[in-house]
Amino acid sequence: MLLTLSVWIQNLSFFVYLRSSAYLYPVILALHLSAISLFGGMVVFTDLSLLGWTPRQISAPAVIDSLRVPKRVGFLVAATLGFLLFSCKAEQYYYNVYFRAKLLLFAFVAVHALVFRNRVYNRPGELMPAGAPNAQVRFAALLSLLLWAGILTAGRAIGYVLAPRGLHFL
Amino acid sequence: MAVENPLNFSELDYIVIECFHIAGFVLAIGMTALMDFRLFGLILPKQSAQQLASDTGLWMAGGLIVAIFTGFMLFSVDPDSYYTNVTFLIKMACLSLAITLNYTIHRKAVRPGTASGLGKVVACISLAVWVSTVCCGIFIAGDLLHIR
Repeated sequence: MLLTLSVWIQNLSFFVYLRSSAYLYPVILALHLSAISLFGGMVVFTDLSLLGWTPRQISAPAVIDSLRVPKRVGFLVAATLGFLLFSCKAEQYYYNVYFRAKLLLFAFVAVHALVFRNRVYNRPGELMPAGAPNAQVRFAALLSLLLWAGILTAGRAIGYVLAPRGLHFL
Repeated sequence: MAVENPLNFSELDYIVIECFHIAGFVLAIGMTALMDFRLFGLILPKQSAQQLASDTGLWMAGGLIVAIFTGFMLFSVDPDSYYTNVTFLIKMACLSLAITLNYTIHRKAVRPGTASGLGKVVACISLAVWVSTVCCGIFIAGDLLHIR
Protein backbone atom coordinates (compact mmCIF):
# COMPACT_ATOMS: atom_id res chain seq x y z
CA MET A 1 0.00 0.00 0.00
CA LEU A 2 2.85 2.40 0.89
CA LEU A 3 4.54 1.46 -2.37
CA THR A 4 1.36 2.17 -4.36
CA LEU A 5 1.08 5.52 -2.59
CA SER A 6 4.74 6.31 -3.38
CA VAL A 7 4.26 5.55 -7.09
CA TRP A 8 1.08 7.68 -7.14
CA ILE A 9 2.81 10.64 -5.48
CA GLN A 10 5.87 10.64 -7.75
CA ASN A 11 3.68 10.56 -10.84
CA LEU A 12 1.54 13.57 -9.89
CA SER A 13 2.12 16.14 -12.62
CA PHE A 14 3.67 18.64 -10.17
CA PHE A 15 6.34 16.17 -9.08
CA VAL A 16 6.96 14.95 -12.64
CA TYR A 17 7.63 18.60 -13.48
CA LEU A 18 9.96 19.11 -10.49
CA ARG A 19 11.86 15.92 -11.27
CA SER A 20 12.42 16.77 -14.90
CA SER A 21 13.54 20.36 -14.28
CA ALA A 22 17.31 20.78 -14.51
CA TYR A 23 17.29 23.61 -11.97
CA LEU A 24 14.27 23.27 -9.67
CA TYR A 25 15.31 19.99 -8.03
CA PRO A 26 18.84 21.22 -7.13
CA VAL A 27 17.36 24.53 -5.92
CA ILE A 28 14.98 22.68 -3.55
CA LEU A 29 17.89 20.50 -2.38
CA ALA A 30 20.04 23.60 -1.76
CA LEU A 31 17.20 25.29 0.19
CA HIS A 32 16.65 22.06 2.17
CA LEU A 33 20.31 22.09 3.21
CA SER A 34 20.21 25.83 3.97
CA ALA A 35 17.14 25.33 6.17
CA ILE A 36 18.93 22.46 7.94
CA SER A 37 21.88 24.77 8.64
CA LEU A 38 19.66 27.48 10.15
CA PHE A 39 17.44 25.04 12.08
CA GLY A 40 20.38 22.80 13.09
CA GLY A 41 22.14 25.71 14.78
CA MET A 42 19.14 26.24 17.05
CA VAL A 43 18.94 22.56 18.03
CA VAL A 44 22.69 22.31 18.66
CA PHE A 45 22.84 25.58 20.62
CA THR A 46 19.91 24.50 22.83
CA ASP A 47 21.60 21.19 23.62
CA LEU A 48 25.04 22.77 24.14
CA SER A 49 23.47 25.24 26.58
CA LEU A 50 21.74 22.38 28.43
CA LEU A 51 25.04 20.52 28.65
CA GLY A 52 26.76 23.64 29.95
CA TRP A 53 29.26 23.48 27.08
CA THR A 54 29.07 27.21 26.32
CA PRO A 55 30.54 30.11 28.34
CA ARG A 56 26.99 30.47 29.76
CA GLN A 57 26.56 34.16 29.17
CA ILE A 58 22.96 33.18 28.41
CA SER A 59 21.21 30.63 30.62
CA ALA A 60 19.80 27.40 29.20
CA PRO A 61 16.19 28.25 30.26
CA ALA A 62 16.38 31.55 28.32
CA VAL A 63 17.73 29.72 25.24
CA ILE A 64 15.03 27.05 25.40
CA ASP A 65 12.22 29.57 25.84
CA SER A 66 13.39 31.84 23.07
CA LEU A 67 14.22 29.15 20.49
CA ARG A 68 11.13 26.97 20.99
CA VAL A 69 9.01 28.61 18.28
CA PRO A 70 11.85 29.39 15.78
CA LYS A 71 12.93 25.73 16.02
CA ARG A 72 9.42 24.60 15.10
CA VAL A 73 9.29 26.99 12.14
CA GLY A 74 12.75 25.89 10.98
CA PHE A 75 11.82 22.22 11.23
CA LEU A 76 8.60 22.81 9.30
CA VAL A 77 10.47 24.58 6.45
CA ALA A 78 13.22 21.91 6.25
CA ALA A 79 10.65 19.09 6.45
CA THR A 80 8.44 20.63 3.75
CA LEU A 81 11.41 20.96 1.40
CA GLY A 82 12.43 17.39 2.33
CA PHE A 83 8.93 16.18 1.48
CA LEU A 84 9.19 17.82 -1.96
CA LEU A 85 12.51 16.02 -2.55
CA PHE A 86 11.05 12.71 -1.41
CA SER A 87 7.94 13.09 -3.56
CA CYS A 88 9.96 13.54 -6.75
CA LYS A 89 11.46 10.07 -6.32
CA ALA A 90 9.08 8.52 -3.77
CA GLU A 91 9.29 4.96 -5.13
CA GLN A 92 13.11 5.03 -5.15
CA TYR A 93 13.14 6.40 -1.59
CA TYR A 94 10.70 3.70 -0.51
CA TYR A 95 13.37 1.09 -1.28
CA ASN A 96 16.27 3.18 0.10
CA VAL A 97 17.55 1.69 3.35
CA TYR A 98 19.04 5.01 4.54
CA PHE A 99 15.75 6.82 3.93
CA ARG A 100 14.05 4.21 6.11
CA ALA A 101 16.77 4.69 8.73
CA LYS A 102 16.22 8.44 8.60
CA LEU A 103 12.46 8.02 9.16
CA LEU A 104 13.15 5.64 12.05
CA LEU A 105 15.47 8.24 13.63
CA PHE A 106 12.72 10.89 13.23
CA ALA A 107 10.42 8.52 15.12
CA PHE A 108 13.08 8.32 17.86
CA VAL A 109 13.22 12.14 17.92
CA ALA A 110 9.44 12.14 18.47
CA VAL A 111 9.82 9.64 21.33
CA HIS A 112 12.65 11.80 22.74
CA ALA A 113 10.32 14.80 22.68
CA LEU A 114 7.50 12.85 24.37
CA VAL A 115 9.80 11.59 27.11
CA PHE A 116 11.83 14.71 27.81
CA ARG A 117 9.56 17.63 26.94
CA ASN A 118 7.89 17.78 30.32
CA ARG A 119 10.83 16.39 32.26
CA VAL A 120 13.55 18.66 30.87
CA TYR A 121 12.68 21.11 28.12
CA ASN A 122 9.60 22.63 29.77
CA ARG A 123 11.26 23.21 33.17
CA PRO A 124 15.03 23.53 32.77
CA GLY A 125 15.17 26.17 35.53
CA GLU A 126 14.06 23.64 38.15
CA LEU A 127 16.52 21.02 36.94
CA MET A 128 19.46 23.38 36.81
CA PRO A 129 19.11 25.41 40.03
CA ALA A 130 22.80 26.30 40.24
CA GLY A 131 23.29 26.31 36.49
CA ALA A 132 24.85 22.84 36.57
CA PRO A 133 22.91 20.28 34.54
CA ASN A 134 21.90 17.07 36.30
CA ALA A 135 22.32 13.62 34.73
CA GLN A 136 18.84 13.56 33.16
CA VAL A 137 19.34 16.94 31.49
CA ARG A 138 22.76 15.91 30.15
CA PHE A 139 21.37 12.61 28.87
CA ALA A 140 18.46 14.33 27.08
CA ALA A 141 20.77 16.86 25.41
CA LEU A 142 23.40 14.31 24.37
CA LEU A 143 20.76 11.94 22.99
CA SER A 144 19.23 14.81 21.01
CA LEU A 145 22.63 15.69 19.49
CA LEU A 146 23.29 12.03 18.61
CA LEU A 147 19.85 11.56 17.02
CA TRP A 148 20.19 14.68 14.86
CA ALA A 149 23.75 13.70 13.84
CA GLY A 150 22.35 10.30 12.84
CA ILE A 151 19.60 11.94 10.78
CA LEU A 152 22.19 14.11 9.02
CA THR A 153 24.37 11.07 8.24
CA ALA A 154 21.44 8.95 7.00
CA GLY A 155 20.26 11.88 4.89
CA ARG A 156 23.63 12.18 3.17
CA ALA A 157 23.88 8.40 2.63
CA ILE A 158 20.48 8.32 0.83
CA GLY A 159 22.13 9.72 -2.29
CA TYR A 160 24.70 6.92 -2.47
CA VAL A 161 22.24 4.05 -2.93
CA LEU A 162 21.71 3.12 -6.57
CA ALA A 163 18.11 3.17 -7.71
CA PRO A 164 16.66 -0.31 -8.30
CA ARG A 165 15.65 -1.17 -11.85
CA GLY A 166 12.10 -1.03 -13.11
CA LEU A 167 10.84 2.06 -11.28
CA HIS A 168 7.46 3.40 -12.36
CA PHE A 169 8.40 6.94 -13.43
CA LEU A 170 6.07 8.61 -15.90
CA MET B 1 56.94 10.51 -6.50
CA ALA B 2 53.28 9.86 -7.06
CA VAL B 3 51.21 10.11 -3.90
CA GLU B 4 47.90 8.29 -3.91
CA ASN B 5 44.91 9.83 -2.21
CA PRO B 6 43.22 7.15 -0.09
CA LEU B 7 39.87 8.90 -0.51
CA ASN B 8 39.93 7.91 -4.19
CA PHE B 9 39.70 4.25 -3.23
CA SER B 10 37.07 4.22 -0.51
CA GLU B 11 33.52 5.42 -1.03
CA LEU B 12 32.78 4.90 2.66
CA ASP B 13 35.64 7.18 3.74
CA TYR B 14 34.42 9.78 1.26
CA ILE B 15 30.86 9.67 2.66
CA VAL B 16 32.16 9.93 6.24
CA ILE B 17 34.23 13.01 5.31
CA GLU B 18 31.16 14.49 3.59
CA CYS B 19 29.09 13.98 6.74
CA PHE B 20 31.72 15.77 8.83
CA HIS B 21 31.77 18.54 6.19
CA ILE B 22 28.00 18.98 6.50
CA ALA B 23 28.08 18.79 10.31
CA GLY B 24 30.86 21.39 10.35
CA PHE B 25 29.05 23.91 8.20
CA VAL B 26 25.71 23.31 9.92
CA LEU B 27 27.48 24.22 13.17
CA ALA B 28 29.27 27.25 11.69
CA ILE B 29 26.31 28.62 9.71
CA GLY B 30 23.82 27.69 12.42
CA MET B 31 25.72 29.67 15.05
CA THR B 32 26.15 32.65 12.71
CA ALA B 33 22.45 32.51 11.83
CA LEU B 34 21.58 32.64 15.55
CA MET B 35 23.55 35.89 15.74
CA ASP B 36 21.74 37.18 12.65
CA PHE B 37 18.32 36.30 14.09
CA ARG B 38 19.34 38.13 17.29
CA LEU B 39 20.37 41.19 15.25
CA PHE B 40 16.89 41.06 13.65
CA GLY B 41 15.43 40.99 17.18
CA LEU B 42 13.72 37.65 16.51
CA ILE B 43 15.30 35.66 19.34
CA LEU B 44 16.64 36.29 22.86
CA PRO B 45 15.44 39.94 22.99
CA LYS B 46 16.35 40.26 26.69
CA GLN B 47 19.95 39.19 26.12
CA SER B 48 22.52 41.26 24.27
CA ALA B 49 23.98 40.24 20.90
CA GLN B 50 27.39 40.35 22.53
CA GLN B 51 26.38 37.78 25.16
CA LEU B 52 25.14 35.48 22.39
CA ALA B 53 28.37 36.05 20.45
CA SER B 54 30.38 34.92 23.49
CA ASP B 55 28.36 31.70 23.73
CA THR B 56 28.41 30.86 20.01
CA GLY B 57 31.83 32.19 18.90
CA LEU B 58 34.01 29.19 19.69
CA TRP B 59 31.52 26.68 18.30
CA MET B 60 31.19 28.74 15.13
CA ALA B 61 34.96 28.80 14.69
CA GLY B 62 35.21 25.07 15.48
CA GLY B 63 32.54 24.22 12.90
CA LEU B 64 34.26 26.42 10.34
CA ILE B 65 37.63 24.72 10.88
CA VAL B 66 36.06 21.25 10.49
CA ALA B 67 34.12 22.34 7.38
CA ILE B 68 37.20 23.88 5.72
CA PHE B 69 39.50 20.97 6.59
CA THR B 70 37.05 18.31 5.35
CA GLY B 71 36.19 20.50 2.36
CA PHE B 72 39.84 20.52 1.40
CA MET B 73 39.91 16.72 1.70
CA LEU B 74 36.89 16.42 -0.62
CA PHE B 75 38.52 18.87 -3.04
CA SER B 76 41.73 16.79 -3.03
CA VAL B 77 39.91 13.83 -4.60
CA ASP B 78 39.61 15.60 -7.96
CA PRO B 79 41.24 19.07 -7.84
CA ASP B 80 41.40 19.43 -11.64
CA SER B 81 37.65 19.16 -12.10
CA TYR B 82 36.95 21.49 -9.16
CA TYR B 83 39.40 24.04 -10.51
CA THR B 84 37.58 24.19 -13.84
CA ASN B 85 34.13 24.21 -12.20
CA VAL B 86 32.77 27.78 -12.30
CA THR B 87 30.23 27.07 -9.56
CA PHE B 88 33.03 25.86 -7.26
CA LEU B 89 34.98 29.08 -7.89
CA ILE B 90 31.86 31.16 -7.09
CA LYS B 91 31.41 29.09 -3.91
CA MET B 92 34.98 29.86 -2.86
CA ALA B 93 34.35 33.57 -3.51
CA CYS B 94 31.13 33.47 -1.41
CA LEU B 95 32.91 31.56 1.36
CA SER B 96 35.82 34.01 1.48
CA LEU B 97 33.36 36.91 1.59
CA ALA B 98 31.28 35.21 4.30
CA ILE B 99 34.31 34.56 6.53
CA THR B 100 35.68 38.07 6.01
CA LEU B 101 32.30 39.65 6.81
CA ASN B 102 31.89 37.41 9.85
CA TYR B 103 35.10 38.60 11.46
CA THR B 104 34.77 42.26 10.44
CA ILE B 105 31.43 44.06 10.11
CA HIS B 106 29.46 41.22 11.73
CA ARG B 107 31.67 41.47 14.81
CA LYS B 108 31.24 45.25 14.86
CA ALA B 109 27.44 45.01 14.53
CA VAL B 110 27.33 42.87 17.67
CA ARG B 111 28.96 45.53 19.85
CA PRO B 112 26.68 47.40 22.25
CA GLY B 113 25.52 50.76 20.99
CA THR B 114 25.38 49.74 17.33
CA ALA B 115 22.28 51.11 15.59
CA SER B 116 19.70 48.33 15.23
CA GLY B 117 19.07 49.29 11.59
CA LEU B 118 22.72 48.72 10.76
CA GLY B 119 22.63 45.41 12.63
CA LYS B 120 19.67 44.27 10.53
CA VAL B 121 21.42 45.17 7.26
CA VAL B 122 24.54 43.26 8.35
CA ALA B 123 22.38 40.26 9.38
CA CYS B 124 20.66 40.28 5.95
CA ILE B 125 23.99 40.33 4.12
CA SER B 126 25.46 37.65 6.37
CA LEU B 127 22.50 35.28 5.88
CA ALA B 128 22.46 35.88 2.12
CA VAL B 129 26.17 35.18 1.69
CA TRP B 130 26.17 32.02 3.83
CA VAL B 131 23.04 30.61 2.14
CA SER B 132 24.63 31.39 -1.26
CA THR B 133 27.71 29.40 -0.20
CA VAL B 134 25.57 26.37 0.69
CA CYS B 135 23.57 26.65 -2.52
CA CYS B 136 26.75 26.87 -4.64
CA GLY B 137 28.00 23.75 -2.85
CA ILE B 138 24.96 21.83 -4.11
CA PHE B 139 25.19 23.37 -7.58
CA ILE B 140 28.83 22.22 -8.03
CA ALA B 141 27.42 18.89 -9.24
CA GLY B 142 26.54 19.70 -12.85
CA ASP B 143 28.28 23.12 -12.61
CA LEU B 144 24.83 24.75 -12.68
CA LEU B 145 26.06 28.35 -12.42
CA HIS B 146 28.27 27.99 -15.49
CA ILE B 147 26.44 29.97 -18.21
CA ARG B 148 27.33 28.28 -21.46
